[in-house]
Amino acid sequence: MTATAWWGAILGVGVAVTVGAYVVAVADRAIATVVAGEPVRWSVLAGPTRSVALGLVQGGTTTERPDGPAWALAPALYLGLAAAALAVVPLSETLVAAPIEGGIVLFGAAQALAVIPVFLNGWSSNSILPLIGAYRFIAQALSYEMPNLLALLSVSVPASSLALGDIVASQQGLWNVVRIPLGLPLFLFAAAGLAFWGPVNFPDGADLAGGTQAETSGMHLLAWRAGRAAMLVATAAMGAAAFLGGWLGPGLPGWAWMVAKTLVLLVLLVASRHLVGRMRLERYVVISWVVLIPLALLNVLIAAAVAL
Amino acid sequence: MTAGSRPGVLARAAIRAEVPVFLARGLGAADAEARLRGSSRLVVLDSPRAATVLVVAGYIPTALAEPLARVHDQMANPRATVWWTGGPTGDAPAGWPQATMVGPGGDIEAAVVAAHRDVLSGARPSEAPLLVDVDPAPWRGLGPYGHGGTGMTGGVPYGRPMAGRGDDLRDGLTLDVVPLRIGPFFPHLPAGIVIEVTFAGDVVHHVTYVAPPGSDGGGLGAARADDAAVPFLAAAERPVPVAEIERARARNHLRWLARLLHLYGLDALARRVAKAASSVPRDPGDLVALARRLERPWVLGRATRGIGVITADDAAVWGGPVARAAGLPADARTGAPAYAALDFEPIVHADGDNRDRWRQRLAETVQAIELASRAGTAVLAPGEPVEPPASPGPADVGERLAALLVGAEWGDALATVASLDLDGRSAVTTPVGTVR
Repeated sequence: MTATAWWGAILGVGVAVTVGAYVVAVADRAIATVVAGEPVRWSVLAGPTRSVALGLVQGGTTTERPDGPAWALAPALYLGLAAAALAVVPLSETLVAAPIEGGIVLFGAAQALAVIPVFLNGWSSNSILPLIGAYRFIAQALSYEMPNLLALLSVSVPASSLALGDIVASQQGLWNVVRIPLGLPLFLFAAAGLAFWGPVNFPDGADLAGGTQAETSGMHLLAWRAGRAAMLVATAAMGAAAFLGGWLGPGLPGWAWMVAKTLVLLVLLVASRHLVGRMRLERYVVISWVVLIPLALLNVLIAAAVAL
Repeated sequence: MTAGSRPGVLARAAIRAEVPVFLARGLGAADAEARLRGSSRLVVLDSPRAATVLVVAGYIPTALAEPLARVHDQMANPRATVWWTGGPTGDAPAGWPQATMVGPGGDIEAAVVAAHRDVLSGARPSEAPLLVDVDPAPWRGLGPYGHGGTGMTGGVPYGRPMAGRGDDLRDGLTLDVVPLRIGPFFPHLPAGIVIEVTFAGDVVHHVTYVAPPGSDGGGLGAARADDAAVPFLAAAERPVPVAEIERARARNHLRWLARLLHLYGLDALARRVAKAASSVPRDPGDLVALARRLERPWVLGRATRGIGVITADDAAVWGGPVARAAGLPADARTGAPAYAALDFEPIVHADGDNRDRWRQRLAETVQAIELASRAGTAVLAPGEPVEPPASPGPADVGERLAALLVGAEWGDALATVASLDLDGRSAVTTPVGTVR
């Protein structure tokens, strides 16, 4: 890649992260308003920018003897991992920020590494409720990673490739959501854990007074929330590319299909926060290990049968 | 920024954001959380760090004044305080000179929004710390990086206990245990209560309950009159319409449900229910639909089933909805003349767990609205037994709570505490409108 292409890719991912986080915030407000039984007004469009402004003018806080550098690094690292995960997802046949052969592997690496910033965010504040949130996420990550990776691997079997471009192209005749039907539900359930969103928000739950973010405010909190929103966008985009045929579709340009499919999954993920109560962590772990991993293995076998 | 100057673009946008609020509930403020949570202009936070406005509701005994100041000082700048009191609002409480006072008839939402606006625009200075920022205890470690304990555990560096060894409770995996003192303003515990918890991972290993301090003749603020409790307290002295009693019961239960829904992350539903508590509907249809929705396993049914079980044998000492949720049909309305004419039958459930306790209260809410609509001018005579909305609970509540919580995951433990509605209990036993 040339320097211009590098800068273009970085700029493109930055725009995608920013716009995606904004869309998550708007969707979250709009769905909350509907569930609360209130009329949705145009002001939901301005809500996220106002919250960003508040985050920028609000000061930071500190605790007794925190690990300052690690604490400051955590949201940036998490946001960076979300951006890296998003960079490998193609917007169209020719438009992808990081056109690498092992796109799925990089996405899997990003989700595995997410344990580090989440743990740092909880541990570094030297406060016990955030620390418990940090440890919760380790249990959560150990539970979602296997089914998530197996679900992603299942789509690489019929494509005979780990590159997302090839995986999308392999769905020309039939989308993976139809021929490998267990894949998308498994992926979405596991991926919601990656962004610890909604019913699987264990590390930042209300019962821990906000968990890993309980001691944060201002820009730190803003960056942390932006990172979670960006991770949701990366997850939805990956789901759209891997299971819903990515840019494939009649009539509209490829990028429009990709955006539309991503939005559908994004709204589904965002809505789960308002429609499904927080699970019990123990049950989540048991379901992941006892039900989802066997199902994910079965899903790989189904994919192999499809590929034959 | 100086007072009177025009705020910048960022500040103007920030002023129009939803106002992040931390609520410090004192005694006699059982209604406060639902009143704030029902507003779409405010966001009630679980931690004070990111709040711009601290709302102090009710009466703060002298013993809670210093913990309250610590909550205040944890907030980021800019910050402001609004005292929501049941007493006169002439002077701010001692030590809180910059606080806004809101009295019983005041508009709390408007006051919070105004405080947020003023402190962000610079019209009002951000509040200074109330306490000196010092370590709670000196470093007592061994060596420059020592922690004061043995091996890698123990010790209390800077007054903060480190992990120590603890017995295994349930699965054969022995974990280090960490002690933590939670309260008296933790949002998911009843007002004023402190629990000293030892955690083994996410599991409650040990609990010590510290009862809230009562009135001490001093303190700050005043208990607020609670419109969900007033009719029950008044029934001892004057005739009270049955419809008024039953609508107050519905209001209390809906406030309680809003808190529970927030604990399970269902904030939008919590807002809907909190608004219903402020203006109890005449038609229970929406609540019947809500009950069906919550019953679904993935919404609330599965997460609360089998948690915090109170057996029928223990239920009698808790009384009220907690006992009825465990299968005991104990209800003072049974056989009361005013209710006999309404064909009242107590609702009971069987399992006595957290799920049955929210189902019990939601079913009683629907029943209360129906009773109120049919009661007409029926009146409860003074001195007639009245069934309070919250379980009176046992005298040894601390010991019983500990027995319920030990071995539970922390989220389940808090849901169990919430399911007992200890705030509702204090609301109907605290003299209303007490002014100090």
